[in-house]
Amino acid sequence: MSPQRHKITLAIALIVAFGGLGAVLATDTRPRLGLDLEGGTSVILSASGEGIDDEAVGKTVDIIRERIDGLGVAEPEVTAQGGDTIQVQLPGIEDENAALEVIGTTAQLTFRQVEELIPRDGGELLEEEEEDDETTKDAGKNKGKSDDDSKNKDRKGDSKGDSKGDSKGDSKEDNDDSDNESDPAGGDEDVPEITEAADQSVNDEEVVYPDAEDSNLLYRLAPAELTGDVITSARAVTEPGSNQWFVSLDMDGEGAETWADFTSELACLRDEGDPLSSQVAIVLDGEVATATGMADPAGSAGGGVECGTGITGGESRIDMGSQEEAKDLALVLRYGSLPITLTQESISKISPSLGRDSLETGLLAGLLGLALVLIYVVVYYRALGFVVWGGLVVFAALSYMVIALLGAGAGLSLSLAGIAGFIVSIGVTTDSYIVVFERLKDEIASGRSIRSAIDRGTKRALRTILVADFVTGSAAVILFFLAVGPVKGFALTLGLATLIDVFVAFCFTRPVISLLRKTGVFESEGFMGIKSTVGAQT
Amino acid sequence: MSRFGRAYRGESEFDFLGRSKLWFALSGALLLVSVLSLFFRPAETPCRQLPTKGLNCGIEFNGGLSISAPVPDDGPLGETDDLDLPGALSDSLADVGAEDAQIQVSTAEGTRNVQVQTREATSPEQRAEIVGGVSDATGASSEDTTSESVSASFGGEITSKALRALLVFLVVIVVFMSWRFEWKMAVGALAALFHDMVITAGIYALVGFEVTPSTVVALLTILGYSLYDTVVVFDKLEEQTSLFATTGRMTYRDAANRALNQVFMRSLNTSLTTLLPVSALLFIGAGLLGASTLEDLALALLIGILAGTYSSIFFATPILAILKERESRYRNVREKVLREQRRRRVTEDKSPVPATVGAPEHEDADAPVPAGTGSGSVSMTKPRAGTKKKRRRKR
Repeated sequence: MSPQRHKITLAIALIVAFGGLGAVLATDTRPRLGLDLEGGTSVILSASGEGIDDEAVGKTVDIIRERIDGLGVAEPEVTAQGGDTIQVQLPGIEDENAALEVIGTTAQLTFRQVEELIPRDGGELLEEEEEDDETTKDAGKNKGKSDDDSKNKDRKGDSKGDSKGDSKGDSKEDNDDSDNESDPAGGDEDVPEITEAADQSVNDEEVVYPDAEDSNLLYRLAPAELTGDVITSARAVTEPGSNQWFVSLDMDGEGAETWADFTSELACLRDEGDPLSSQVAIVLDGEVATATGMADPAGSAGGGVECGTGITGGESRIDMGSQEEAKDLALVLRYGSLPITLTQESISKISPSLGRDSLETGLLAGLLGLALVLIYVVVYYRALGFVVWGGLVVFAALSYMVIALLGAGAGLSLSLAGIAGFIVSIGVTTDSYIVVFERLKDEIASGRSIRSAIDRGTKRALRTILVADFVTGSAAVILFFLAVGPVKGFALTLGLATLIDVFVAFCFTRPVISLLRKTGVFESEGFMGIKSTVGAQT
Repeated sequence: MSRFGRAYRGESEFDFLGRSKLWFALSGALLLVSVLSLFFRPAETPCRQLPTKGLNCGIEFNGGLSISAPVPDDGPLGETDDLDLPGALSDSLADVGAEDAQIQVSTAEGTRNVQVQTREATSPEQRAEIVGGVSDATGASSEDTTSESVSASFGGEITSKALRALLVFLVVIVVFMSWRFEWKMAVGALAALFHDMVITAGIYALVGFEVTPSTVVALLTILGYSLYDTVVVFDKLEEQTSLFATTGRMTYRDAANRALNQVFMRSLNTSLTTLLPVSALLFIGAGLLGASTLEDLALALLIGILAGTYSSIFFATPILAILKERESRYRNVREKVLREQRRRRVTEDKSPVPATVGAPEHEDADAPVPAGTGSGSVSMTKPRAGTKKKRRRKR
């Protein structure tokens, strides 16, 4: 490589390292600290039950996240850890017991009749308008016809979202008819309290739950008619040639019978002109995923639900607006059909003072170790040792930058094991220099000129570093993907440190040595602690 | 010139491989002690998930609850002295169902701390009760209390996941090394890896240190480090042997020895520069109460890095040399070189060759001495003859 290119490489490396560090410091982006350094509670849950897959675990993660958000914990972190393991991190929580209780309960899916809609934000009480049978339910998924579809599509433009949004704007008050027997706990402004329990204990009770997307919209719901375990399949499908998406829902035999009775009853209510109470709400974990009316047989050309018959055979079709909505609902239904139980496998609570102590110790040990290494390389390699100083400074700048950026961007948090990983990598990074320098000595000792020794030696040494770093890197990658808990954090920093090491070796060490060669300092005695060898040659 | 001085310049001529029996005996003894302590020295709290009897597993693997809390001086137990503290605490803990609680008291920076371990924490409710019991008894705020509870099954999960990761990693490494070098090197590297991990685990069993997740992290790091170090050594080895041994100028053993001499200072330096930060971690971590994660990590790393550096040179390479010398081409080279050495010794007795063959200009392509490499070098002053001479002197 020409000196010109070396200069450019070096300049880029320095700009990346120090420019990046400067930017990170200027914007005050700090590395995110893990719970073991900051204090807080970390829970590892395992989900067990039949038919658990990544999708179900992902949904569980969403549900837990929502529950914790409800508690008002700052920056909770809920992540799937691969397989059936879920990690919940609650920084700075004081009473972890409340959180633990919330986290561990199993989510349940129920089908309930809607009794009342209550906007919570002091808005008006509303009544659903005629159009709310637009959220259609067809008996038999094949019955829908294209005209039906297009009609649905039109209406569907407003279906779920609108039955709330619209009606809010539309009519006011009244609709108190279904309000009487359900005595809401919260007396103020007629807004009832949301039922806290979401498990089977309230299956036979009337409940008040918020809408999954609009927490200001409450539903008063009748006791559950059916639970999720009757669902045998739920898929988001579309008919060819249309972009009408719907969920095709199948139930087992027993469920289908109850479902037929239930939907028939609702259809009758619809025919009686009570569109609100003719809706079925699909409730998951104390939230109404969707509330939908019964399709009018007249409007949907044989695809509707008849009063007196209901949806028979257990096959239903729930029209949704977009593909996304259909997929979401299908996921909710599938998830609700799984008997998932969550076990709290590990709960660890670190006090903030212990976390702070650990952080200080880790940093102190790191700095002390670094100082010792810096002294050692200068004693051993003399002037060449200062190249290592430069390299380690670049390494440190890059590491801090990457950790800070990943913390801000990808939510990576630095754990104690991670700090240990970096401390170990000080040694491994220094080794890169040792390999290069020892190589140079060998080359010079075997009688090469300084010039060719440097060319050949650096090249060979970098190859060695690359191979060795590949080994460490693959260890890090495998550990990261296969291990759990603290091992993961450690693997991540080890992997990052390895990558940075390769970068420093190629973009800093190589150009620096090559440029130093030009200046002729290598020829001066004692520059790299090999004077007698060099001397012996001349 | 001192021996170290020569090693410093990569000129030492230590016959690493000539003494492989000694190294094997040393490693064998260490491995034997390790295996004996792993399997036959019963530990206080043996790991449930492992067939070993000798390793002490923490609650992270066996399941249970561990609590650490300060004992404020103005709290209910503030006046109780250190000796009575465990008794007083265990009485109040028995009330909440933790009869088996083990209690330790320690003092750091003027604050007394208690550490409580119990297996009786099967449900989250019970856990909350016991943690609450400790806070109530000591008067520590819930804020300052650190606790960890692990179900018995989860420890097994960590173990099995770590073992699975290990297996995958080993397969990747064997494939990679066979591709980059050759399968014999993969065998040597794996042997060294096995050597390092068994010895580290053995020392843990022998001394009775508790195995925690940090230990597992450290063991996995050692695995990475051990391989890294072996790869660096083998890379040198491959270069030297392909330069000399394959061309028939040196036996594999001599070429390997030459490589080891060259790489020796690198290994020493690297382990030193890695051990410096790790020791800093160990001593600072040990000085601070509670940061046991760091201490555990550092301790296992310290042992593992020492073992890893040693095994790359004294265990992996001799094994590789044994495997390689069975190849016919190296056997032939070896026989040829030995024949020539015998013949040379005969001539040497008549007219001794000059004792030093150092000048770079010196070049004799037809010289039977392995030193004739074209570039001529100080370091390869007839390795064989050199060592022979030394031995003779000793006698």
